[in-house]
Amino acid sequence: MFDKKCSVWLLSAAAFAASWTPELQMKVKTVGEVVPSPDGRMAAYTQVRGVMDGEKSESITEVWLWTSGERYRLAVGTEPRFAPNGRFVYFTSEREGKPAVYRIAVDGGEAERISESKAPASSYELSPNGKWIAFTGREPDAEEERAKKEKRDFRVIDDSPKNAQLWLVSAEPDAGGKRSVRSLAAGPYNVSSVQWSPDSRRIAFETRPTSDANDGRKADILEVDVETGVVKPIAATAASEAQPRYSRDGRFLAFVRTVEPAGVLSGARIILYSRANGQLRELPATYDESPNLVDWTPDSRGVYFVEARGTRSAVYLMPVDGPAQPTYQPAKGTLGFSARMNSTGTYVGFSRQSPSEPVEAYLMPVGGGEPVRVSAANSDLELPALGETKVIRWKSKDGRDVEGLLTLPADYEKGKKVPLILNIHGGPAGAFNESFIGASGLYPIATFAAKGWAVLRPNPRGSSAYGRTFRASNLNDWGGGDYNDIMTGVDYVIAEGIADPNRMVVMGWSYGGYMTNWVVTQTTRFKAAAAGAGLSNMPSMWGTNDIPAVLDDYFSGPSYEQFDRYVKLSPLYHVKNAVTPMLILHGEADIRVPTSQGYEMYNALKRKGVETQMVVYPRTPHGPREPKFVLDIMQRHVEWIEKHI
Amino acid sequence: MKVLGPLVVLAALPVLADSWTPDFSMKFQSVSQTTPSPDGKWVVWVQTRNVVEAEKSETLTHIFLASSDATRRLQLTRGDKSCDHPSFSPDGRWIYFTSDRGGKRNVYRIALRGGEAEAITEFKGALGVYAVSGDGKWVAFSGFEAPADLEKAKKEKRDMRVVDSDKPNQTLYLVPAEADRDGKRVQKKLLGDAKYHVTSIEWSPDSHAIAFARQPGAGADDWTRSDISEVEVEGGKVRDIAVTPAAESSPIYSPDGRYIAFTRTSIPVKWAADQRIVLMPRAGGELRELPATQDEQPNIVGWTGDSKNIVFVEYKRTKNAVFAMPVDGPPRLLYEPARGTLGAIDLNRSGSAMAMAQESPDTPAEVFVLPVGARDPVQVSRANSDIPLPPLGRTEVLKWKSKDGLEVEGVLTYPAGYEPGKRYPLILNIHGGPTGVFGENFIGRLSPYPIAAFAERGYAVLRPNPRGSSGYGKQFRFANYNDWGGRDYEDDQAGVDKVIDMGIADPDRLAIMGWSYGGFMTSWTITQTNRFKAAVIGAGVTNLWSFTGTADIPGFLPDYFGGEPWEAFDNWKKHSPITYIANVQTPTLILHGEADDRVPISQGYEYYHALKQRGVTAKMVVYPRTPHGPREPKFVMDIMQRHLDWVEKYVR
Repeated sequence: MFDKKCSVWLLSAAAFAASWTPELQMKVKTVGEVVPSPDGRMAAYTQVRGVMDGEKSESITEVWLWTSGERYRLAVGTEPRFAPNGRFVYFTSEREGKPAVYRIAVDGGEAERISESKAPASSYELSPNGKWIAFTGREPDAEEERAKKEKRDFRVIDDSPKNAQLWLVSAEPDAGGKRSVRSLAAGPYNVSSVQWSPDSRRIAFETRPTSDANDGRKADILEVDVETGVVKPIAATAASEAQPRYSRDGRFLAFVRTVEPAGVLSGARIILYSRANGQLRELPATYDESPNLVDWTPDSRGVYFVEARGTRSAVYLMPVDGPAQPTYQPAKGTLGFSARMNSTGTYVGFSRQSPSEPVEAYLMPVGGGEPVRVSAANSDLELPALGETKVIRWKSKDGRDVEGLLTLPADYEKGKKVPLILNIHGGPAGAFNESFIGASGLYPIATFAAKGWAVLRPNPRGSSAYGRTFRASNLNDWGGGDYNDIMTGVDYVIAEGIADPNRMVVMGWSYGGYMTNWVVTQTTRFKAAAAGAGLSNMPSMWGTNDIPAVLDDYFSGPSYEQFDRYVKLSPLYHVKNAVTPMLILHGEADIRVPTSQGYEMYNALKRKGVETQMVVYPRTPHGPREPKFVLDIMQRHVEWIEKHI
Repeated sequence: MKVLGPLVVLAALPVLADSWTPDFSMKFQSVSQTTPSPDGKWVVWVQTRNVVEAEKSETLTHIFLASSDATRRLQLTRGDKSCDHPSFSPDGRWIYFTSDRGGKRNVYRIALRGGEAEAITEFKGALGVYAVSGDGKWVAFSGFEAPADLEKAKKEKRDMRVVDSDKPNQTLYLVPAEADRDGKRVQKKLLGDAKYHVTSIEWSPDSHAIAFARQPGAGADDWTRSDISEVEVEGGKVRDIAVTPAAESSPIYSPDGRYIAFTRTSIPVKWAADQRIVLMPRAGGELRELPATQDEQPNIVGWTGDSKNIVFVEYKRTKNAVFAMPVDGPPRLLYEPARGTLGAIDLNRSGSAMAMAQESPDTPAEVFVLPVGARDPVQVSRANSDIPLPPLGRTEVLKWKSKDGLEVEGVLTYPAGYEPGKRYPLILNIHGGPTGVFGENFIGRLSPYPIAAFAERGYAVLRPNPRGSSGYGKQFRFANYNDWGGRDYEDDQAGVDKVIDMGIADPDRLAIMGWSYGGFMTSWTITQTNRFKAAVIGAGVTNLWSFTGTADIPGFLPDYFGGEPWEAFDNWKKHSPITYIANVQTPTLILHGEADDRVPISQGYEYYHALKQRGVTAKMVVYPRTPHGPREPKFVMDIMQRHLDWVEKYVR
């Protein structure tokens, strides 16, 4: 008994040792939405932590309140919103099984449920006058439940889209203590986001034909009159229209529209819709042509948005007469995409982090002034030494400038050559940014650095954050220019005298897994590889994944029309060249890159006699969620590297 | 255990109203696992019925007993848990069987003279097969103990799986048949930790040794590396009997103990599987390969009591037949039914009596007993005989010449109430495998393809056995190597032409359907011709390239296509239906089980998504929990109904 206790103590002591480990990275919390109160004197924000006790393996999201310099946990829930009078914080929670809207008083007492449970609330907004809550949700299908029980639960694909509709519930109960819920808009579409007009009389909402990911590009904006229930289209074209935002004076509705036809590579512009005459005006292009709208300025003369530029995201202002200008760019690090303003337009809340600073919530006065940190999600954590992370630039094979992040070993001594981990991001239209390297994730950068390894995270052509042209420059060319961009980045780090060319490992998830699979069929320079949820066979990928339209965009048509191109861009087609030991990780519930892609690569390597191991994660979609699995993935990456270099 | 075609659906449930509907077909029970008693006076078998009520959708199997003269018959086991794999103790006093009535699957026994069953094993793991020793003192069984921490890992959500390390090997265990004074039976492991996977158990006549077939792992691909060893029960010494690159299996001792007979493939092992019976003299000396059997896929049933003949069953065209192979060859026919076909044949220990299931296109399956040497089997079961049958279409064996002149055979079912001179819509139904074969089975049973219901509704149904099928000899079975969608396709189409030429089929009302390789051929056919007005693809292989990397048998297609896809890509591309998907115009229904490891559901999605995006009429239905062969009766009924509805909608 004593021995047991002792070893437990030793174990936990080890976890707190002065070095980064996957276990320690799991302790780093994340911060999501940050919402300023109407008077700007409070803020509500969400904080996420992993729970791995006993039979639990889940992320818990909590709503925290910051007031008078203090902070405390209000509730377990997410999507916090202040009542106009600032006395309540609304939120959603699944505490009673199905997601519902709740509210809790900021000055004490338990939370009360607002929405009925018959239509689970997937997103909601409170009316500016505080009287109503509009939410989206799909009515549970009783027949479906029964079929499941009776084992008649076969599914006809595409037959019955599970579409959410728009619902309305009053914030205050009637005399009988009840709140009546009514359907506000239901049609042959899925409702996915809600925006109230300033006078609380109308709601603009996004729709798409179904909730299928492949229909994401078919988003339209409709508006409903709350009193009459009359629905009219605001923007319903072949372009994708999303993110409706009413101006505070009620004259405009701003939204984001893709250049037609909507595709994964289309640029998106901010559009102003005049509510007086229905005219549309396209504002100048933003740097990356993918703005995330925040809200209008208090005087309704411009719209704030968050956008990435290189390795940083920042807040920009688009005046109604353009062009965009920066509002807040952090001195170091990057902002979260989901910034929110208070109803009065005086404060904006966002999350911020840098390679050496864990994420925290900040509040910033819109009129000017520095952001104030309101959260303390990670301030109790003692951070061991971190490797330095810097932005590096190099010339690719064709002369194009490419950027990436280089993290040096924690105890790096100049002139010493160290092993190099090449980590490739997903997308391909993703981008590595200056986020905290000690965060929990699939690739434990801080741990890698603590082990004495350098980590290169390139943003090759095809990445976002470098403008639309750069993002679209891997068209019909996966594994071509992007591959060269990545390899020249590795060459650069070798030439700098940092990386030991004989001790290099490549890894990545999703498109990063594709590129990892590709790399091992093109070069033998890496001693080991780890492909997470990676694509291997492009024709079968086209026919099995949930967003085939994206591949149509990248490869100029579906696989049955561009078969030879799909074949030649498939790592599996070139697998005869592969010799690199390969770890394959895949979620079993992944519909984006189905597990079959992992099996195809695995079985080919196995039959060729290449050292390979495949680990399958049950219940896991494209992005692993369960903390125990995330930890396992981090550990396996570390172990696979240690085994082979 | 013989090797079945990898893309064949196992154990289709034979199964019934006033009209042929899925509901009616449900009433038929299947009979199997027939076993005569050592003295030949009794026979046991199992009957499986469909349980479709409220939340249940399952099959329930129980053991039945009858006297060989059919004067007595009773149901031995009861309850809502299945009992199966009955076998007699050597003295004939006990009937051993397996059941999961106690939670885990274990061996039980019940006395012939009456009384309840008692548990013999208390295995905590997963039990495979069992065998009672010749002296009746021991029960040997195969099984594996699930890693103790597996359940815990699942509860604690640490249940990630390292692929290929999650299928533990079955090893051998021994328990005494009789309990000790404390009422206990001490279980002992006969082989050490399983370095290989034990697939069959055979006791030597003196009960001193056990011969067993084993393979490197439990994977579906591993049968190609099956070998045979023998273990001494005392001391546990193991010696190899047949360990070569050929696949050796089904060892059976001669009653006099002089030989072990087994089956052996040629080298290299081919997936279309050619096998010979081989004799190993136990006293030493050369192995003796016996003459080839007509289909070169013999299933050894046992030895005759005089140790002079090996009895085996083998496909013979559209029938199963029983043969005897003298130790000095050549084989001779022992029994073949005048009408219909056989299933589940067994010979008793003394080699004096055979029990078998027998059925014909218009007669549901029943159990029969045939004393060796006798000519007429005696029916002992009444699983289905009391069900009045609505009118059935006549089924006959049809022969035709294929495009290249080869003779091909098939089974043609006429519409019920067929009138000569009138043309009817025709269903072309293609079997799996490709080494499957359509036999003269009862057409009204519960199966994905409602043959009797189609016939009743005025359809003719052609079920061809194209080249590549079993039952027509090795050369015919191997004739589709490197040629899926080639001459096998021509064989099928020539069959359709024949039925049109006979004036039966209306060429403008044709439909095509098939499961597994039959799904491959369906998805292939509609890329090659527009003659069919409707198609239904069940668990079909549609893209050879992605199939081979996702199926549980990655060694299968490289054998049929002479190399891996990265070595012979053009060949793989040439024979994949998906390559020609832009040609398809036929309205297509796609049916697939979500838990299919053999032909993963991704094969169905690949075809469906392309048809959908091209705007071809297509529907896909996914069956949760369903492996390669649909099992849950409600799903099988749904599949039957959808076949009927799809054809009625687009063909009639």
